[in-house]
Amino acid sequence: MKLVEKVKQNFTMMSLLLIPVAIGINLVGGAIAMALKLPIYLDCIGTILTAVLAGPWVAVVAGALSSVVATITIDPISLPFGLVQIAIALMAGYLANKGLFETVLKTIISGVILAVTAAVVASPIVAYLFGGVTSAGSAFIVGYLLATGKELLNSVFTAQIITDSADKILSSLVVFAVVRSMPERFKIKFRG
Amino acid sequence: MALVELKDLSFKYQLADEFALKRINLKIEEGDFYAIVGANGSGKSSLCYAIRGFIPHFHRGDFSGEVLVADQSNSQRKLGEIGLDVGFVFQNPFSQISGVAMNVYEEVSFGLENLGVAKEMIAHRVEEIMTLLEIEHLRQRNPYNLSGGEQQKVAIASVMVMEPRILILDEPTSQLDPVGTEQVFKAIELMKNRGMTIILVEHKMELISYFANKVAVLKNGELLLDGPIQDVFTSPVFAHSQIKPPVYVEVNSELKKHFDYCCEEVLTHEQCTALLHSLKQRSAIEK
Amino acid sequence: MVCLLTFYEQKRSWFADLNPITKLYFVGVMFLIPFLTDNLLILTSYFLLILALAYSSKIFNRFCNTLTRIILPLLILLFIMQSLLYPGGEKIICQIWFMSVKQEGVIFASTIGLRLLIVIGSILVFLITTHPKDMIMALEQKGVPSAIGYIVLSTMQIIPHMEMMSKRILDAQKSRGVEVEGNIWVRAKAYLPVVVPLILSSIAQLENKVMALECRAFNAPVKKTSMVDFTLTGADRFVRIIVILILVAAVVGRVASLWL
Repeated sequence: MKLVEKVKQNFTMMSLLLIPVAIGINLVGGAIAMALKLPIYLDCIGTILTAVLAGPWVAVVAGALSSVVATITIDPISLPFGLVQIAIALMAGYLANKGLFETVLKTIISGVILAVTAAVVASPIVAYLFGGVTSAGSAFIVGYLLATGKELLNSVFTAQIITDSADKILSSLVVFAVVRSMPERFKIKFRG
Repeated sequence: MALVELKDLSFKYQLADEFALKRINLKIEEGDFYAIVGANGSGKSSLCYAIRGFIPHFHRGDFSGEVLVADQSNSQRKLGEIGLDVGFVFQNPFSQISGVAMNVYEEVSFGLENLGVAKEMIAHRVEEIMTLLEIEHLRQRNPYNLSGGEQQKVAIASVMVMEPRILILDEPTSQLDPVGTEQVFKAIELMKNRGMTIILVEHKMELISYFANKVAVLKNGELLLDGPIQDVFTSPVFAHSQIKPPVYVEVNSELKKHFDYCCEEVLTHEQCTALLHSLKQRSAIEK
Repeated sequence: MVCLLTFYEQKRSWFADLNPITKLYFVGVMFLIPFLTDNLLILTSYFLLILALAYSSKIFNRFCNTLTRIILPLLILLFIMQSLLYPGGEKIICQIWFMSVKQEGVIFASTIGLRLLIVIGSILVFLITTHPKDMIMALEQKGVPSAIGYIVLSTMQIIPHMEMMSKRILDAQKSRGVEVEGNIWVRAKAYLPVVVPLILSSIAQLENKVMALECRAFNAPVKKTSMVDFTLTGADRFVRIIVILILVAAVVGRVASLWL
């Protein structure tokens, strides 16, 4: 029963209300990236932040609901990528627990680990549900790799790693900056 | 029996160095319009949180003493139970919007829906409160698109519709423009006329002297003075409060230095004007 | 005007008037059946079914516009990429310049493409005919925790507000000298000064929000009053049965094709 107790403890009102903000950041963060013409999605910032502040379980809910909200408001294609959000939530929670968001260097390492996690989970979805295509940029890379004779899943994975690295490293750095600027009296309110 | 009683209440927030509230003893009777005044950081909001139970149930820290609402100790009741007796309106109109209502009507109904009140009863009570507070014309509007004053009126309605015994308002107009302030104070007047027990934290002293019958003055977490407003504002101790009394009180004390008249109660605009008139007439007669 | 981000269009039709859960039955089945077959004809008929549904629900225009906007770029890229570069493709249909269009690639792209159209299409039909609040309330009646419904609805109201805030912060930072034009490093450096204040200001309000919600009996341990009635009509029962029959038929068809 210990795990259930632990999970329940994390869901205080503060962490519950953090979720809409996290989802908002996931969706709006991507819009800001577009406004600045950055070629990356940045749709996991809220999820990672929630994992660091309130633990993996709250982050899982945040990530899952994030793709639900994205599906019903802007892009139904987001739905299957909920699995990626959940994986990121769990991994970020684990990394935060081990103190891997405490310095800039450790944060960058976390970003790399999260990029690999995302790529591993996303690649089968992109390859078998979307035939290897999610955006023009990555499709170009995938196409190039296919032309050199690589298999679909392999090519997709390589393309995902390339795009996800920049994405997740920047996302992790944003989370690091936010957590560092946040007064301690706020941070204690999120943990159960 | 007092409706609210604070006994030796002390509280220090979890990561703070100083105590926010130091040995507060206060009684609030049913029907009182109690103002809480003091300099910034003197503990006014903390006092309100303690009456509502947010201290110690939501804000953790060192808590000692007792807070009794309707003869029941807050420490022994759940936050939700205390909420049935005590309504609370906050400073920031925006953060009080539920976020799930499509229009003002739904916003006001929100609290009653959460309480599981029957549909017909909800409709009846929402209509009544919206009529009373004169916000029926806002019923289809999106709460996010209202002005600050309108949002606060909606917040007051949303809390009042749940029929608490006490209404606490923590600086409800500090983020509003003069128009919004006036709207909110009209609403507060309507609540007062209904016989509601009201606790109001405010800086606008002239409005306090108009509405309140009692006032508590806080300084550095301690209760400096409390009691009927005439007694408090004219007390010599008030000079230590770090805040100014209503301007009419100051006018009165200045005038007393130059004219000889006995203990006029001058707390409101009307009383001050009346005093000046009577002094002017006296001067005319004496000439 | 309601500041809600949604695909919903208010048009009454037999489908729109169904209970949201019934509509979800339909979506659920449309998620499963495209993956039970590889037959392009069957897949095409599934998609035509969805088109017919969109037409009879009077949302045809909006449906087609939105579906095109969402999927067409993807489909084009998919076809180009897979027909030309499908690994191991040998049967050549035709030559374009120096590239050869491979049949396996075209078939693969068509299968994936149709499946996407069916899945995304069915979600869209649901979203265009169902108000988000109705969907959430129906789910809550079925036992989904009300906290989830609260989160989804309040997020949908927060997002337009956050977007407006982000524009304001971007302008404020620009006037403070943050560069937003230039090479990619310059633009990437501009990201933090916009996103971090946005997050911090949104979180700063949380404490007040928790207390304010508590003052509206948000945590009351009673069953919340439902303002809308969701009783099932005959149409609901009919549609649910039909939809389940379709699923069963698809499963049987698949099992049968594996055996033969």
